[in-house]
Amino acid sequence: MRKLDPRTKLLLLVVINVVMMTGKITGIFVPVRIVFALIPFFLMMRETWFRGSFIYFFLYLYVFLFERFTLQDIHPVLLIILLFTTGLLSRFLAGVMMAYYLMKTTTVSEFVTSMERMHIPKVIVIPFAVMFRFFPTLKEEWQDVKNAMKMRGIGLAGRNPLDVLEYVMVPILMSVSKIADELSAASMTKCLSVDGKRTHIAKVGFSFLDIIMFLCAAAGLFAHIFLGGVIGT
Amino acid sequence: MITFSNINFHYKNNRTDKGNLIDISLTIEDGELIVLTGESGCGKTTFTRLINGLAPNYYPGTVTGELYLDGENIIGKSVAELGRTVGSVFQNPRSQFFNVDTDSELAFAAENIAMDPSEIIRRMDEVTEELDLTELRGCSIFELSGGEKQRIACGSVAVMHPKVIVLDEPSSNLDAESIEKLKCVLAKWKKQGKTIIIAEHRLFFLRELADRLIVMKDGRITNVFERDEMSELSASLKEMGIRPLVEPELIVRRSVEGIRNYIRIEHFKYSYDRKTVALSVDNMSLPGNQVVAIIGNNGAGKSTFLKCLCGIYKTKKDKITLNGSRWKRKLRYRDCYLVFQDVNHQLFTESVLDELIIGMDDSLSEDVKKEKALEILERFGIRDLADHHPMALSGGQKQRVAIASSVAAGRDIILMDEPTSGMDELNMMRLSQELKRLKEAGKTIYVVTHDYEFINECCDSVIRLA
Amino acid sequence: MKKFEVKDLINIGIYTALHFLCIFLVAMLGFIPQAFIFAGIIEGFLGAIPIMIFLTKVKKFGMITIMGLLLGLITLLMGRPWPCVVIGLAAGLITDLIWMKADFSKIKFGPVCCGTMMLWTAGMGLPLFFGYRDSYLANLEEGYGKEYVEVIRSLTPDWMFIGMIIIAVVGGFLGGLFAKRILRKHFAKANLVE
Repeated sequence: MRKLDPRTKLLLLVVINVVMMTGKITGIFVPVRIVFALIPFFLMMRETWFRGSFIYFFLYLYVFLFERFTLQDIHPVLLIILLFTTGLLSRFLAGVMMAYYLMKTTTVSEFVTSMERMHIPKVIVIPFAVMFRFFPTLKEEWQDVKNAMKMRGIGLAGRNPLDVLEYVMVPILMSVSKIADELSAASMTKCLSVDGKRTHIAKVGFSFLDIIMFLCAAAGLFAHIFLGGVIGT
Repeated sequence: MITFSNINFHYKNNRTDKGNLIDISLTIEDGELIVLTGESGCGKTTFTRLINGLAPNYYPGTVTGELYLDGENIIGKSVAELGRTVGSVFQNPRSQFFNVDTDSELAFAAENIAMDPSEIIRRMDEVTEELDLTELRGCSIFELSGGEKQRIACGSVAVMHPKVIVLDEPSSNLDAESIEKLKCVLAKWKKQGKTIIIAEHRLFFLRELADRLIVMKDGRITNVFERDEMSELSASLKEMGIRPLVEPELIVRRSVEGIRNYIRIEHFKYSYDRKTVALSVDNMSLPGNQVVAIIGNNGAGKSTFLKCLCGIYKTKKDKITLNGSRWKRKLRYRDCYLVFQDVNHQLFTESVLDELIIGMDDSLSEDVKKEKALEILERFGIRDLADHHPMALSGGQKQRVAIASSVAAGRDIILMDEPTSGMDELNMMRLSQELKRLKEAGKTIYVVTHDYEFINECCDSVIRLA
Repeated sequence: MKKFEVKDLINIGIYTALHFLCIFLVAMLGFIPQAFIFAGIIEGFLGAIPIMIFLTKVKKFGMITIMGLLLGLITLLMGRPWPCVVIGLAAGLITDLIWMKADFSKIKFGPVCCGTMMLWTAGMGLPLFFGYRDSYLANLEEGYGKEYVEVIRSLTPDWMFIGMIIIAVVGGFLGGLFAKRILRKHFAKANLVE
């Protein structure tokens, strides 16, 4: 199975977010939204992440239907609360899933390779790649700190929130700063430099699926810009 | 050939002399395997950093003297330049990877020097074969164990075909099986004629491989032992504060002390995902008021066992009793204290004293708390550190603070996960003494470890997890 | 201008990730219209902490600008209109200039820098204002009903854009003060910063 090019994934992420976050939710944008909501689903199915895909699918289905059919005649406060959850999900969910897919299926080296193909300078590529790599590490760190808090019997309730913030942030920051130091040292011994030329073993390039996805993204953007997604009707 | 000639190194911004080097002169022949050892802070890590250029390029400091690598003075050469001939493996598997997948990491260094992609791939396959990495290829770094990460780290170094390889405490986060694998890697490298320099505390796995053992103290080389001298060293090493060259046999004692069947466990199961079972214990009983070692092979779920026992991980349908009465997860939180392998995450206040006070019973007054905390610190011999920031302490001291804080919180059962990894002899002995004292004070201690020297030193019974 | 080293770039990446995560988690709250003023403050407050630690690692001009650019790019990835990249870049540049004035070391300028850095979040709120606003709200109205939109509309006249920026900057400044305390209390005491 050929992998999608990281550039395609990035473009899809942007377009999904544009359509979902700032786009209309009625008229011809109903099918547009459906298509863009289905793209992450389709991509995840392709990776055989069945559980995740189906959870996403049904969650989105619920949100989508809710937005359309149950909005009449409820108390405004209740409505706002409901809208908070569904609104949040219908706007964020597809993009979050796409971002998750992007992170999970793209290796740092593919990412770097495709960014360098776009002639983005190393001073931007390296931090971007590190950032990309660092989200899962942060998750691990957070879990460790959470476990430690549990162990110490230091709960969140009944304490000054600033103290709690301090207890959580200090170990994470200390650890992060140590990781930053050690990672820099290790990368330097592996000859990473700011100006040297690199080669790549990662194979990135466009396939048939990339072209289809590009067309989807272009159509979505077109609809968004010229068929009244942005400029109010 | 590597020649240190009258090398002195002083770290910048360093208030103590820790890690500095004083008047080092040494010649390392091609193909030699050198083991550097000595107490924490003796300068052995600095020694390796000079060879790979991290000192003074990355860790700033002043250096005098000359360091020749094949006749060329390498002081002042950039790390990236040296990286072509010197490969480096570090201690912490979590922070030495730039990539998130193993294949990219193997290729990373070679890509950075713009090696031809087809050559990189050829070498990757060759290294995979040599170091037996087949099942680790194409994995996410986050799914690997510490030992597996360390093997990938070795592989990524090997792809560069370095002449010299330096390893800084590579075994400190590894279990017995992984250490054995690391040893195989080192043996292969040695056979290929690479010059290898290892800074280590645990020496037993290096005995057959080491050509010379170099003992350092306070930045100086105090002893150099040749290969044939090493076999007669055991006794004198201990005096020098150095861990044994031969892994001791496990001494099984039949302890009559303590409480039998203190904790009984039935149906203890845990899995991280839905597929693989990380821990499965059907029936087990643990003694109380003892120091109990928990050993077992890689993947037996030792660490998971501790995390489940203290309640961090939720086990379903478990049946655990403490002294005959039901011991639920909530109670376990209250009674147990787990000292992590990496204690850094467990310390988060601004001083050692606060660290103890924060976990104490809230009903006590501040003065009582403080008095009690100081008393405990006194007992652990760290009272003079009361005002220090926990993060400014050494690894051994941090661990002591963590144990002391569990005592302060009134926990009766102390769990420890590989407490002696990366520890020198001195700290290991000190920890053993402390555990014995805690036992006398009525505490129960369960230690996951594979450090037989440590087990013989202080553990009353040994339980093997299968 | 001093040249960047690998260490600098890795620090930029790591602290941008941490900063962004702090902001992102709070930004989720911002969807409750009444809460979004608080969200602005909390966002700034939390986000300032990594920034402050980052500042102690910055000894060269340009590092903060790159951070701003990265944040702008992430905002773009999140579907905001393209000027958000310019806003991010500008926020970084302004902060960089201030921190340069502070000789990359005078920590009392830290909170101000944390404040100005928060300017990039203006890019996040862009769709709520200016040309985007009316269409955005009209859009919301069709699906969300008048009530919800009225609440937002009343909270978001165009001048509120400035208000929102000020809120975020104030949040950042306050967070910076808090972070300065952490820095002194923990990092300096543990000899992790000079």
